[in-house]
Amino acid sequence: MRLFAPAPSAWEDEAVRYASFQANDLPADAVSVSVTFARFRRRQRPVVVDGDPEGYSFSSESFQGRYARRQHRVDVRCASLRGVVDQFLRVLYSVLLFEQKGFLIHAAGLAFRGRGFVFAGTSSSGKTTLVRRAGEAFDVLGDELIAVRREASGYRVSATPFSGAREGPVVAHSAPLEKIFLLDRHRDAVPLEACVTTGSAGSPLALEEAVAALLRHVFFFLRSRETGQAMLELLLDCARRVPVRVVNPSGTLYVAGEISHGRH
Amino acid sequence: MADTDSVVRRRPDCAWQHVNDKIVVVTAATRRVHILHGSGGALWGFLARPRRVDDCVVFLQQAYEVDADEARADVVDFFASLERERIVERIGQDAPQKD
Repeated sequence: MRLFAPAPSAWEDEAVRYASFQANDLPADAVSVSVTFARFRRRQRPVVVDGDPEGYSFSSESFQGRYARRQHRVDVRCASLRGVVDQFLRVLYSVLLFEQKGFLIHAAGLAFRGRGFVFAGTSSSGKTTLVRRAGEAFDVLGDELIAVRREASGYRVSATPFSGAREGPVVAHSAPLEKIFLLDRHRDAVPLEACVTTGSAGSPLALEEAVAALLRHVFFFLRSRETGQAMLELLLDCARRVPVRVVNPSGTLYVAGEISHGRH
Repeated sequence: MADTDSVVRRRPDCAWQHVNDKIVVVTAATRRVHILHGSGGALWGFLARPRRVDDCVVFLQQAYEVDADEARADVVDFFASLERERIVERIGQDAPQKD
């Protein structure tokens, strides 16, 4: 994704992270986004995305834009407020990813020995804490929104620039998705490394519960029945192929060859 | 939805999927996720086309061998909750076509 925008006074924090879009291997790479800043009347309006054969229209209380599919181009007017460009790009990315049989999910993402792991949870569920406590053996894919997409042999999890409390540039890692965990702080803590190395860490979910849980964490704005049905089927396919378990991972510290667990 | 003459249908904007022997329903309007199982899933299947509540009561009676009063109370409660969650809706009192 190439981003064209005025001097980033309203989004300088995010601009650093968007450099990773340039190297990202996600399908949005070919899209050019042209941002202009404008005044918006402040009124509470939800994000609305409408699809048609030519592309998508986006609107909210602080942005209004259009994606022209044939031209691979997005023109968007954003309120000159902190976080608005970021908010729009999240919505845009979720739509483009969905067209490629993928989804954005509220989750932390980690790669360990070339395999990808998603830790899905609501805000305050511990995603950023988990990422901060992950040791050097882990590649961090993100702490807020992670991209998951279908590929021939299964699913792949990829970093996105959409961070929570984590700062700085994001490396555009990706890895085959090995397992999805749903974060639950009320469970007994399991060492993070055990989560990614043993098959029995955490509790399994029935397929329908797994699908329902994934639906609750997916970042998704298309509201037609057809798109809802397609997302439901995508998540069902994902949950059939990728184990989904509930877990409370604890931070792990490596000391002289032994493992001790940080406080959670 | 106390009127058992009324006709009920699945809301057309709901997405749903059979998963094992359950039904996972997503409402487009609220993005809420619901899992229907047992008699709830059976009634959802019966609503493949619009049905009178009375017909749903008879269906439940026959499927689960419960008496009419119990079946009626269950169906009325169930549809009331689904209507609140915007999963089903009433579309009047016209009798739908018989099977």
